[in-house]
Amino acid sequence: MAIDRKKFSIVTAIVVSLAVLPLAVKVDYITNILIVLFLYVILSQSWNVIGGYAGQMHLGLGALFGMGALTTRLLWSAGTPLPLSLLAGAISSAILAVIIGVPTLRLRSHYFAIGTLGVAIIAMTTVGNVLPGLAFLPGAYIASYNILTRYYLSLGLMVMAVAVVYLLVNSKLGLGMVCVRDDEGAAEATGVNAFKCKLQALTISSALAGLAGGGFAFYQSSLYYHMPFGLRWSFEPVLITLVGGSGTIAGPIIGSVFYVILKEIFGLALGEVNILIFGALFVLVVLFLPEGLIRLPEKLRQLSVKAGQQEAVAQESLGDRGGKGGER
Amino acid sequence: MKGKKLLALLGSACLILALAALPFMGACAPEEVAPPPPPPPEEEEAPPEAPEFIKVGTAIQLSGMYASGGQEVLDAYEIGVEEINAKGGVYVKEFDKKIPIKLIAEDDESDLVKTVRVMEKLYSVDEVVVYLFGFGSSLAAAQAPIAEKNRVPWIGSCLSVEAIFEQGYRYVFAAFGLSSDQVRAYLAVLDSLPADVRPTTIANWELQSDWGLEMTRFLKEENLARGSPYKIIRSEYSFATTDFSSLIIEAKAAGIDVIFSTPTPPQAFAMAKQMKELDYTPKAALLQRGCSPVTWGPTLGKDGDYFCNCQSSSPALPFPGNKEFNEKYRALRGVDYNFAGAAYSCIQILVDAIERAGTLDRDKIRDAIAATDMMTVQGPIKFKPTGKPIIIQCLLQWQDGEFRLVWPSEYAEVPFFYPATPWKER
Repeated sequence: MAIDRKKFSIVTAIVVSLAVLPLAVKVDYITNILIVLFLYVILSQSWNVIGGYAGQMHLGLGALFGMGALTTRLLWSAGTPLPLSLLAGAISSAILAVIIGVPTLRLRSHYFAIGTLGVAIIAMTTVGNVLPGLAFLPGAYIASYNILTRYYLSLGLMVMAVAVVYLLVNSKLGLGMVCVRDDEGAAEATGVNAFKCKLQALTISSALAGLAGGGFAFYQSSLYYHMPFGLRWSFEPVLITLVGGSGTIAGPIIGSVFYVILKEIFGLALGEVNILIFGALFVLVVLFLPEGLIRLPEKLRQLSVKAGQQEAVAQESLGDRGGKGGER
Repeated sequence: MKGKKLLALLGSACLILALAALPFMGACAPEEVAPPPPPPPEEEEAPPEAPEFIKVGTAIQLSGMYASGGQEVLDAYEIGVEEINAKGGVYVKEFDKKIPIKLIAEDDESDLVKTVRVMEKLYSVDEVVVYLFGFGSSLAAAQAPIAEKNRVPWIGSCLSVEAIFEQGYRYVFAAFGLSSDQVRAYLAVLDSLPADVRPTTIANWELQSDWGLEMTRFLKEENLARGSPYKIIRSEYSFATTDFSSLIIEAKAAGIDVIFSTPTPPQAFAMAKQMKELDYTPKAALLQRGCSPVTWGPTLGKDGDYFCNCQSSSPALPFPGNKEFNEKYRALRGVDYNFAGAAYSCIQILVDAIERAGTLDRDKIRDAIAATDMMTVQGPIKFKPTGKPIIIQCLLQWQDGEFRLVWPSEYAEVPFFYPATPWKER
């Protein structure tokens, strides 16, 4: 696997800039937005693995995000070191994914979507009934609360998640996932164990979702246990990935920036109307850029080439006319 | 040529370094003998330059599931701020002048994640000196730790969950009766009934939420403190429940006298309709929060009568300024306020605290709020060290399609109607 040095340098520069940013701009508000952005990037990368690369319309990511959040928060609150709690959160989500995946991955297309959505609703309702309370950070802890710890943790988790997805898509398993997405029957005919491949994709995707959930549980100072199981965590990563560009590494990142940052700016500038305008913008992106925002530069280039060609044709025809006129 | 380039480069580097080092030069320079300080001026020092505004921030619910509640709270804040600013603002001793309040209200879309970001924005960008809360306990639970972390006083109305005030937070205050106050008010009304008609059984329909569990805890504790005069039968339901027939049939079969529950408004509407369909008339029913919307009476008509809700303000309370505030609210929205009195009292508490603190220092304002002992539109208020209020708790009951104050008895508009008229006789 050859690494593009230019791309690697750009990514390194971005990560270093992000690492330095909160030290230079000491505004907690911006730090908070970036934490949420990083968590959305992890979550949408998680969906990107199962939905974008393996082609499975997974609508139950909320259950896995929630499982990671719940496990991490409970263990961390009980005094377990944070890294261990995060790891346990990711593992618990991966285990849940196997339990969900074995029956649901036998379903195809929209049946799989309905099945996973059902799982998300069951998880949300069950946790809401079994654990209706909320977890607070006590006043003594709040006094030493440090937003920068949360920032660097979520930045680190995001870099790790993107690296995992990059390595995955460049591996044999990643190739198998893409084959299954493009044509499951053909993939099986060429020796790919489609079910195993999908299950592996779901497990990796879920571990990432669990990691995002863990980061979220660490970030939120008070947490309703059922809150990370909400359906928004199932739908938003799908929207973000599709708008950014599914089946690409950069797509979920672009989609997350679009979703988190633009929504925040709209919210500040436009008040309550922002929801309507943002929704309309979302629809426009899906209509005119069905492959996601990642194709925007290409689309603009095509348009400019087309415009250039039309201009050339127009000039040519003018020239022809001029020429003919001259002949007269 | 090459040498010249190198020289220019080195020269530029030296210049940049020298410029960068300028701010540190003072620190490294040898100490000079300072000239003797000028004698202090005879006259008193002029007060420091006053800020243009006292910035007060609220992450409020103007869209999403709590939008109607958030709007009512914001209306109250705006009326209160307008009144203060019309008088020139709040007198701050430190600056020896009145400073107007600037209310910065940002919509949090009733979203538990967004509300945190809005709180941080109000703190780090707008630099507010006090936070005011909007509507809904879950959002209050998300906001309170942020206020505590930023050490910015936070005053909340329209929240009930008491657990927020049991975390050792110092900057968080409620100007609204909490769960235990609500339970006490309901039981006090039942206790006040003549012994021969007083209920003996309470069906506690427990909503599976932090608040529902908390209300159950206080109901048990309060009943125990009274020597357990009420037999409490508990049944559970979730946020997703829309069919309450099993709970109703169970209560009807057991001959339960009164109901105690914390449903959401849609659930409360369903409960009332299903009770009528199943012909079960509890002698009294506290559908806390659920039957509080102003649409309850007009929508259900006589079927909505006799249901009760606890709250800490009412247009009928005779405290100074309450009637005038309600008139202003009525002029704005065309109806009497529902619970906005509590929000308006937050402005009164804030103004009083800043005046007593005599400064815009957040810690001193916090201390002044903690020491509050004043009269508001919802009556006298003080705070416990936890930030919980010591306040009058009202019980309102729907009677003839109107939401009437029935408790405390000394302020009641009408007596508590008990037992409720059976459905068939209405």
